Amino acid sequence: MVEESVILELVKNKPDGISNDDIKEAIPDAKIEDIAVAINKCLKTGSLELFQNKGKLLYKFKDISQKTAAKGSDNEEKVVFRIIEEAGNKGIWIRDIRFKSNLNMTQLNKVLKSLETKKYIKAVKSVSASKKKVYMLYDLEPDSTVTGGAWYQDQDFESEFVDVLSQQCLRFLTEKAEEARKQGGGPLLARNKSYATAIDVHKFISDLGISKVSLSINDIESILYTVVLDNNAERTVSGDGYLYRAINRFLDPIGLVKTTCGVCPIASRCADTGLINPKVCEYLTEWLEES
Amino acid sequence: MSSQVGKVISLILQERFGPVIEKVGTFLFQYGSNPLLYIKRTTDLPLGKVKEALCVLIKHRLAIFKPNKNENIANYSLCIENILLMMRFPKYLSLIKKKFGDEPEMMIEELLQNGYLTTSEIILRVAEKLKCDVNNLPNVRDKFVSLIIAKYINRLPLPSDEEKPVPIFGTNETELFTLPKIDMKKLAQAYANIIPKDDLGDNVFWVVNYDRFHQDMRDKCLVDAFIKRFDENAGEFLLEIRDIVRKKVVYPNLVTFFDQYVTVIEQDSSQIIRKFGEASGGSFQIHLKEAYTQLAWELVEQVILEKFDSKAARIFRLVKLKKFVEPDQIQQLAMIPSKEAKKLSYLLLEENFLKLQELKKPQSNTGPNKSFTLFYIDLESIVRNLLELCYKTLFNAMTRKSHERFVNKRIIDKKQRVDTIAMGMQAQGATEEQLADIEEMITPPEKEMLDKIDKKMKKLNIEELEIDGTIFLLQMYLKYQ
Amino acid sequence: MGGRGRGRGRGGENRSFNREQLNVLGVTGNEPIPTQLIEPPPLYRMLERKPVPLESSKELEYLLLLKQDFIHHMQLSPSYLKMPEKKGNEFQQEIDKLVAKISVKKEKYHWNLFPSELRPKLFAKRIKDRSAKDIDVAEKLKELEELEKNSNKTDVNIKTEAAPNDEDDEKLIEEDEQDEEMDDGTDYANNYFDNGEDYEDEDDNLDDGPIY
Repeated sequence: MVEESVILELVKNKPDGISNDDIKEAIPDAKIEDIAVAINKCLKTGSLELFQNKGKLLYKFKDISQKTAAKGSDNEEKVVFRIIEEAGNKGIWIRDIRFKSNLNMTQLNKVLKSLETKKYIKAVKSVSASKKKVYMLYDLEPDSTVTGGAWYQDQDFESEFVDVLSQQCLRFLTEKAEEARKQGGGPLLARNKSYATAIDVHKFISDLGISKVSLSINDIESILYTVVLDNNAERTVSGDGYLYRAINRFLDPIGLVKTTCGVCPIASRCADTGLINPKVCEYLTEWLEES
Repeated sequence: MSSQVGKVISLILQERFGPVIEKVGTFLFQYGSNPLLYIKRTTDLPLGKVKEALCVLIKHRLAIFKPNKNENIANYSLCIENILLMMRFPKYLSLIKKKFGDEPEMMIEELLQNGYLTTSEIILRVAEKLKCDVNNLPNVRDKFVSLIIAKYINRLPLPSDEEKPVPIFGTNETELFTLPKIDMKKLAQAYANIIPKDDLGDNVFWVVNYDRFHQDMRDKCLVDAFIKRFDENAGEFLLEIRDIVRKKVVYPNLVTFFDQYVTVIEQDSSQIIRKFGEASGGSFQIHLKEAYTQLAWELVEQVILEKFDSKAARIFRLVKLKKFVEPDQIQQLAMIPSKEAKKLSYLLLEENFLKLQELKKPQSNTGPNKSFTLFYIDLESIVRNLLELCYKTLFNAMTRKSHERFVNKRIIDKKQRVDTIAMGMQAQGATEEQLADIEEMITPPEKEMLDKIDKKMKKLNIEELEIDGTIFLLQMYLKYQ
Repeated sequence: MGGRGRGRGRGGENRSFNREQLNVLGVTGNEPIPTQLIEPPPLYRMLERKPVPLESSKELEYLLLLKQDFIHHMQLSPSYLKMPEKKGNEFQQEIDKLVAKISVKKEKYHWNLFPSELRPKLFAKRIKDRSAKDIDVAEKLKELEELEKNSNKTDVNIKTEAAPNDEDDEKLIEEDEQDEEMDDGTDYANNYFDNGEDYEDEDDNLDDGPIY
């Protein structure tokens, strides 16, 4: 058993946050499971807050009495504050706050403004919709679903950058597989030699020097996953990580995609008669004229 | 069967058997099994024509009949599958040519052109075509027999009771591939026109066994797929599992690394080959359902890739791998800008490649978050939709073909007449000069025009062949579901 | 099976979304729903994607040849049935007949495999006079040539010249038409144009049992 108070004491002493490892170090005799149980309880009551920093989890102390008393706020502010608090670091849209609080728009705007000036909450632009703002508690680090993570620059997804990285990752895997095949020694050896980890690929990408920002291994894993999704690579679990290797597809282009009907955007409106029909189809006409 | 299939069937019949049979076939497609008189009434064709049309359809196994309650008359119905298979005839011929050579190809061709033939008809026709010596007849017979043994052709079941006005056919499966007795002496006499061919008393009829061809095509698709994913050896490996015939000389690497190929293919994410037991190296099974499911997935992904783009295909595969995906997860996992991700997933939804499932949240209160929505994929329904699109594409190609012919009827007719005349003249031993004169009836601009039409027709015909390949893959998937 | 969705326009499930689903999809407020709702002015808007080019191969060329051969064969075979021509279309008909005669060949059936109602009753008798007919191909071709060269004259020409041959032709078709009442096969028109009588007879035959 680990008392929650022990954990809370530890956390209170570290206003910048404390990691799992730190806690374990501080109470070495406690079982990890017991620590986890205690932490979970604290998280539930709200006396602990969870943060993520560089892939590491950090806990910070939250003074429940202080915040829920909400410093002389009126009831409406308290309600809205709680709703926003519940939403955590993913935030909540103003529409949803309105539904949950049953306040009208003017009231709600006033409350939000007041909470914002008091720096209890903040509005964060969400990458999932450009015009959408979500509200969350002031001192929360927005979740990556809100900010978009490493691939966003002021809510703009750096699509081309991702594409280039994805292509380079694939290039790396393909070359590795090609080399493995050339060396011979049988299909099994060739296959095993064609595997690469995200660390291998990370090194390759870093050496290329195409990225202005420094990319984490996790970032590379994300990119590699797009290669897998494009059906150009296979991902297998190995130990506590993944292995990637380039694969070939099964099929050559099938007949259907060699026809205009196969790629036709208006196929659903095409009929025997009417304005869109095979006799007058302009796509077919153009296709038939091509040499 | 969908109405799209009905339209395709009309056009297939029209192109190969003309308007009368097209009309009868279309009637049978729409109204199902019907007696002669009803067909005559609705199609408004002369009775003689209807009878003739039914005879042709039956002979080509495109229609079947069963006795009506009144045993004197029959109910006729269409063999829709067999009509669609006519699109595949070229593939059967090419397949048999590769596997058995020219004479068997000619035999299959005769059968495809005639529906059924007797033993002697097949042998004599092919011998005549080859102008082969009487002494060579046994060779031709042997090729014929090899087709039966390999089950590419089978006997047409004969009526069990000759006296019935509407014959009922036996279904003795075991006798389908029983070899016929062939009197070579009589056959040789008939070949030399010493005795009439009708006197051979031949009453065993043969038909093409489509299923056997489909088996080969099914395996060929998989071998090709294996070659593309792994290498030549892996393709051969697949054949070996099937045939257990080792081709050591041609594929030395396969023998050396046989066990390794086993491991690599078995462990491949496609899961097409499964190993059973360990005794004497274990035995293998080609998992056809798994195999054609894999190919169907890839086929669908290709369509999405070509119809939309690589990002749409990525989204599709993400949903495939995750089974259920929240719309918000897509941009993040697929690494596609949110606007684009939304547009593409909407398009995929629009075209039924993705489906939406709404889940009620446990503590459902009012407001916008009372439920959440998940994308998922129903592969079988996509496959059926694509099959439908294939039939539509076939219909479109064939319709366009006949439209082009219609628009250019005058010039095509002229060309046909000139060709017919030239052919006749040639048969009569006309000189080169005379023939050239006839050819000149087509002016240079006309010739240019004709070339252009030819090119279009060729393209549309290739399209039909190509689409049939896609149809085959889709059908195989559905077959093994 | 599988008839829904594609090919028959809009409608069906999954076509309309409620507001919530649209929100989830990111379609909010006055943001237009992509495609479909705004009908673009050109009916065939620019294809963003071209189909994968057809690649020719020896195999494909051979398949194409087989396909065309087969269709060609069928079109010239006795299994290819033409519509009975209407009167007033005779000019066309004469040409067709001339071309048709070159390849006229009767389909042979093994009648024990067919319902007897399809069987021409006079089949056995008719079969004899067939082999006797041999059409002068060269003659026909000449006619064709003429026809092509001078379409004004031909109208008359063909009619007179082709007349004797018409007799043969009728017989050939006659065998095919197997109308039992018409043993002699002289009244050509009767075969093609429904005068009602023949069918009444057939009706009697067929009606003595319930049809469904």
